[in-house]
Amino acid sequence: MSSTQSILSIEKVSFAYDKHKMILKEIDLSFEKGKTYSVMGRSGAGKTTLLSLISGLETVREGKILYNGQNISAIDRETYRSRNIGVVFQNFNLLFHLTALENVVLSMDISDLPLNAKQKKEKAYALLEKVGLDKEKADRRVLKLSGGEQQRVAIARAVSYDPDIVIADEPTGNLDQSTEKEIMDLLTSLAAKENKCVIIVTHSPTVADRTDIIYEIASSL
Amino acid sequence: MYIFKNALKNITRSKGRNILIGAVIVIISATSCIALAIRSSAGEIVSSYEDSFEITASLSVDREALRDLMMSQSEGSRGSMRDLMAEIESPGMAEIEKYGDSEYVDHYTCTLSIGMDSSGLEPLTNDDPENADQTESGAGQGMPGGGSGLPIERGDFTVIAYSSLQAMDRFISGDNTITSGSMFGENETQPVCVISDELAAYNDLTVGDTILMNKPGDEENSYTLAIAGIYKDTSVDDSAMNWFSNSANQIITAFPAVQEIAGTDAQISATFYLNNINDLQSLETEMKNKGLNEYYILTTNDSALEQTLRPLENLNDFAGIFLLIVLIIGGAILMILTMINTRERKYEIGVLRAIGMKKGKLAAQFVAELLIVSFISLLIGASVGALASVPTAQALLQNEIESIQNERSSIEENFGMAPGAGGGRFGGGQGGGREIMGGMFEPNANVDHISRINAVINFRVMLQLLLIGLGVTLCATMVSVVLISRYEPLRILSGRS
Ligand SMILES: Nc1ncnc2c1ncn2[C@@H]1O[C@H](COP(=O)(O)OP(=O)(O)OP(=O)(O)O)[C@@H](O)[C@H]1O
Ligand SMILES: [Mg+2]
Repeated sequence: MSSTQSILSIEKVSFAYDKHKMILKEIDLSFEKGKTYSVMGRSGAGKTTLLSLISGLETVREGKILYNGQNISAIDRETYRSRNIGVVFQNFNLLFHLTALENVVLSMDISDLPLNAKQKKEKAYALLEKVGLDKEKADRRVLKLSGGEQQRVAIARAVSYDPDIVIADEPTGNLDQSTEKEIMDLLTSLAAKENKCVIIVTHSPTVADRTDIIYEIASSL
Repeated sequence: MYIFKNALKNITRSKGRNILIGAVIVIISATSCIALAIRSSAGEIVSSYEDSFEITASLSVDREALRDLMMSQSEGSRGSMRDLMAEIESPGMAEIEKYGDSEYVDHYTCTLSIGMDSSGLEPLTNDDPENADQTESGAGQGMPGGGSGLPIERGDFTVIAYSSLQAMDRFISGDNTITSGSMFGENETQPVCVISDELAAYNDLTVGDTILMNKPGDEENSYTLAIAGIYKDTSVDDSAMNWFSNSANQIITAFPAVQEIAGTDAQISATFYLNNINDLQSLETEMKNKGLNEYYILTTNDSALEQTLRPLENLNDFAGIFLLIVLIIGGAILMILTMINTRERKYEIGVLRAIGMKKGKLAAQFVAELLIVSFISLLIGASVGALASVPTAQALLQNEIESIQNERSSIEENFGMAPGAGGGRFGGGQGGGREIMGGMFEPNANVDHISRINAVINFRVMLQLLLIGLGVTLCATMVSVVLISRYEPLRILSGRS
């Protein structure tokens, strides 16, 4: 059930944190379900900024971003974030005092997933299993997990409520080759098997090579 | 639902912080509980005392106004005070009845008195000049608010009648007790009388004998009174045994008898029992409207009430101020703690918002956390306060009671009475109100206090405490809510990276 209609489109988006220094200039990008994308560019080019705009954490002031044809400035962005888009932050943004499982379940809670507590827990265990975290690790506090393991928790959390779009900010940044491959397998399978739109910000050409489409953000500097 | 669950989890997760917040609330609620309990018990005692205190008012000539009037008259035409007073028409029985028929008056009593001589009866006289003086000028003593302002018509004896048994406060207080025979009934129409044992002994009279009375200077018309009872004035000090009591020459008879004997010559003195202390002015105005002479004023015994209640009211105010200070300081500490707490959890707030938690739900979770902690702390604080408030309130009240007693003694000293000679003595002149207080505050009445103070942690105090706890907690949560609503998740999270 692959769709050719874009789930997300960025139209003439420009962005600056302060007036004198434009970060993004009239960006036009289009994303479809069932495909993987990589966004590349120099450090400081504005990749993370773009993801913030896409996820609605940053407000679009010039141009527009459409989700399913709807301008995200016009919809409730919390609901959008908690249901339609899953973000794997560059720095994970996990709650360190909670266990991996609790982090994932919390996300399901916030998205009002129509499951009971037990079902959520089972689903969370399954998801964590899928990203390579066994039950023992799932019940461990995030604080006591390695960087790579934390990254997996972040991925599990991002997909836990079945969003249409999964965006990941350098998900393989701190990983060794084999773990990088595992994570990439996971992310590409989300597009291939679950028809999600997967957007990956990366500096790595090997990661980019594994995606369907590569976008390059030009540095405005 | 998950908000509540998360709130509970967060509380158990950060025990230290919540114990600190809880401790502050325990202190606030315990002290508030004590203060509220004190206010409640003080209030209860005040109101019950006010209820039991009979506020009496009596009419008298406003001498000050009269003096002013006299002074304003020109030197030549200036009459004496006595002349002026004679000009003022004193209210008669009919007027008193009219005045007494008021919404402000619970009931009223009257005393009729007339000075009389007797052909067969020897009056008691004291050789001691001081005492003799007292006897003469005090012819009307025992009449509440005595002295209508009219010059007292002299006679060896004072024949006096009370409108009801209730008006005989010296018998009610126990200062006078019948030792032989009995007091005649309220509706006695026969010419009977009750005399003092001193007079009886002096004239060798017993119950059943008759005495013959006549108006001074009018020996033609005499009236026969049958002795129905003989009373003893127990308030007379043993050391003063040699001297006759003031009331020795007082002959108590029934109302109709005096009315018949004296007609309009009788001195009337009325005591009005008010429903409410605040009605005094209204009653006076009403009486003036009904025709009371403008130089009459209505005076009351409320100063005694005020003096008695002042220490309790002070305690009440003190507890109120204490409560306010505790709430302000405690509330401020709680707000600061909440602020620190919320700021420390900035990252958590940022993450939750970043993954799509709405501000409202996030705020609700923080509010729920604080509410749960404060509710538990409130229960602990209330229990501590309930336990502590009994001895605290008791100790404070005991203090106040002592100061009341000291004050009472000093009042009695003002009257030249020996301190502690008995509230009853003083009570006699105060319409019985003091009596109740005497029973309430005497040291041997402590059992009464304890039961009162035990009852102070009542439903109302609990409700007040709950409202206070809720109010303080909500104030503190406002800090959280404001901070949460101002946090931008991206600013928080990028600040971390
Ligand atoms: N909150 C902010 N306020 C001001 N400037 C910012 C803010 N966040 C980022 N910038 C600046 O905007 C530019 C783009 O930042 P961004 O994080 O989007 O870069 P990036 O492409 O993700 O870089 P990297 O590959 O290093 O992660 C940088 O020059 C950065 O300094
Ligand atoms: Mg970046």
